[in-house]
Amino acid sequence: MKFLHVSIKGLKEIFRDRKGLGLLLAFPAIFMLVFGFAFSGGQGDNSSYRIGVVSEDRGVTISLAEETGEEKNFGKELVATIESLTFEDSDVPLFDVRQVSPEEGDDLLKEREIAALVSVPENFSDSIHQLIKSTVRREITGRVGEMVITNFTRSSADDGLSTGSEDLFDGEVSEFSGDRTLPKAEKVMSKIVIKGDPGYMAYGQARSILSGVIGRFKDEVVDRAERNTASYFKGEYSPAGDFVTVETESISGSQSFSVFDYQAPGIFVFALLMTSIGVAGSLAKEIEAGTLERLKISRMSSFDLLFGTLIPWSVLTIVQVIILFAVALLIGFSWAGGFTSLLLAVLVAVIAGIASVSLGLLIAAFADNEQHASNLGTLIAVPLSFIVGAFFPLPKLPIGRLLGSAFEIYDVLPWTHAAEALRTLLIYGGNIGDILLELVFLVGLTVVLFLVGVFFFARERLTSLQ
Amino acid sequence: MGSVNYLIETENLTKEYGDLTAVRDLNLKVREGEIFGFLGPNGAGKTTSIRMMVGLLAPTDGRVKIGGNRGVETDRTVGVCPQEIVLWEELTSYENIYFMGKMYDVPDRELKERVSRILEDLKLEEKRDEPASELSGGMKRRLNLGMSIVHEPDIVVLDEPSAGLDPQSRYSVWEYIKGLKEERGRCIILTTHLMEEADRLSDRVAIIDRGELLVVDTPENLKKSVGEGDSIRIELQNKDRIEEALELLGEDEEVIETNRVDEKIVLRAMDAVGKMSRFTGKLEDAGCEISDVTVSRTNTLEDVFIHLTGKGLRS
Repeated sequence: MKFLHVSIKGLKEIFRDRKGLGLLLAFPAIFMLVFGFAFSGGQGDNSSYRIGVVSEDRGVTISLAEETGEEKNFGKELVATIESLTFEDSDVPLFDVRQVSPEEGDDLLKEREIAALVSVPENFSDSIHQLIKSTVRREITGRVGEMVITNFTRSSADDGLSTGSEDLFDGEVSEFSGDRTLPKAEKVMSKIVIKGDPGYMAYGQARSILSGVIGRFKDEVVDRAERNTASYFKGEYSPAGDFVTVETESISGSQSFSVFDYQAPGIFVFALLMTSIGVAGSLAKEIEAGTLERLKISRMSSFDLLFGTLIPWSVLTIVQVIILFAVALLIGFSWAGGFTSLLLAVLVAVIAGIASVSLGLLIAAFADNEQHASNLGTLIAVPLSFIVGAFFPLPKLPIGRLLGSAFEIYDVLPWTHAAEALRTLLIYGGNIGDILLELVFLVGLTVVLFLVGVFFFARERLTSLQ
Repeated sequence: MGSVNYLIETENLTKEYGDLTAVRDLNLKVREGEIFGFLGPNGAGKTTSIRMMVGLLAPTDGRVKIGGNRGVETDRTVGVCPQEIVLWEELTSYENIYFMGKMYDVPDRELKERVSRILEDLKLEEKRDEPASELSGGMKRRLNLGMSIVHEPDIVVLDEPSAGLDPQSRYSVWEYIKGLKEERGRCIILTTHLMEEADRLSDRVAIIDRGELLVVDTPENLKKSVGEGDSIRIELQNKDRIEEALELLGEDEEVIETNRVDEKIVLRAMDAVGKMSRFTGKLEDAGCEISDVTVSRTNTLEDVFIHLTGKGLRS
């Protein structure tokens, strides 16, 4: 039970060093305040992302509605859709859109006057038009067969594009007869470019939302074409509207979420990872001061020292987690789910904190002094916070399958599961059942990390020097 | 006569750091219940030797036997008082010693008594509840010593135990070390560069220089080994004439030995006081300006060291 005496010694050292303790407790508060401010968490509202748009789309005449020969410009519709987006339950637009030339856009990007520059190419409407025709054709042939349809059609006098199937959408014709043919689609590709400075955080966020909106725009086009085609075959009337409409839906519950609310789980994980630096420094101090050498020739084991160090730092981590959450709530953090979700999130954060303490012990095994531990800790903890997906989604890098789901390379790190569990609890309002698997991984990997720390510390620090 | 029981034996103990040999072929036998002094200048290899002897440093070659066992895995306990002051600054004097006792599995009731006794013996009882950070340098060094003996080890290794102490604190530490041996029968290995400390405390002294053991014997025998005669130290104003002066004095048939130590001429001669004017006159006739002369009629361990190495302990 020597680890208990090491723990008591550690607690006395931590709590008697008033200045050091003050810094350790002020750290989560200041950290959350700064990040909260950076993500506008303290204001309770949201600021629009300023973006530039270069729209070169020439538009297109819709051949599916040749009677009216309707002119469509999907590029303009896309931009209008982007402009119409607002933060949920708020009138604040998500984007403040400026129409600019390519040169102006580049200048504004460099000056960080805009977060991103969206370029819509001249053939955007054409490519969307071809997408619609392709979808209609696939829908019809998929239902009655290409051969049957061909028998009912005759060739158009003009080119394929000028013939129409407008009745598929306006519901006025109830059978195949007359001057009709299946729409023929050409391969027309267009590319929307979202440009920006990868080092600018607002770009990352704006790009993420814009990619989603554009993807959704395209899906809606296909979806609407499919539904209108299907309604014809069922003989049901479906009023024709614009081919493309974009709706935004929140993945959250009924709460109004700010960017800060979405980022908070990652901020918690980042702050907790930083704890490892303090722990590594504390153990390195034992090495530097020579006290470890005193302990080395006693009957203390590596486990006694590291488990005894883990306990007081875990106590401190609990206090830090409470401060982190308290400050987050004070500056307007909103979470989905009830009080239980919040309590579970605190539990997850505490375990993630203990994982960070274990990481600190591991770092100390390779640090010769406090300064070295601090540098090494920063070098490891900061990149880790990005690797575990605290701030940005990670690319897929599966290394196998476990319990029916893909096991990514990042899943070997406990904080990946902590970040995921915190998001499930705080953003999606999940309950214990939703995070059980993540929790099991988090606890298991924390234990593994601690044991790895014990092994390396014993090997590197508690054997005779060479 | 009963057979001598050796607690620590080293055989050809060697430590190399690249091209540098810090300790070369050290062969020693330390007896149970003796104070064994390691005397040598700074950097001689004393600390490296004892770190290998207690298992803190892996030797490049050779071996150590403790209590008749090879290696340091033994039921004989070792307590090490490091040269640097090593303690937990936020803990009190009592807590520092108590914590170390716990790390050595000393039973609680016994431990509390021992800690109180050590604090009293080391004159720290008034500072019992003071954080170590509040203690003076001398008090910290005494606490440093107390932490290394709380488990009542069979072998106590003291690395420069009185370094940086004022004369009064040094004296009380010496008394405590003597008490450890006389009252509790501990075997003590002491490293020091202070000849007086080695002379006063040690039953036997090993003189070490540049990683090599030069001689091991009792302080008395070592001092006798230098030979009879007195030691005269002459300091010249014109130091560029020292070599010439050494040559001149070396030619004198009354001079037993001459050495240049710390920019001084050290010579040995019978009845040096009576022959003082003869030696100084010779130097003055040769144009050497004498600024200081001291005579010592008893040999010291420093004289032994000079005799063996041709240089002083502080060189």
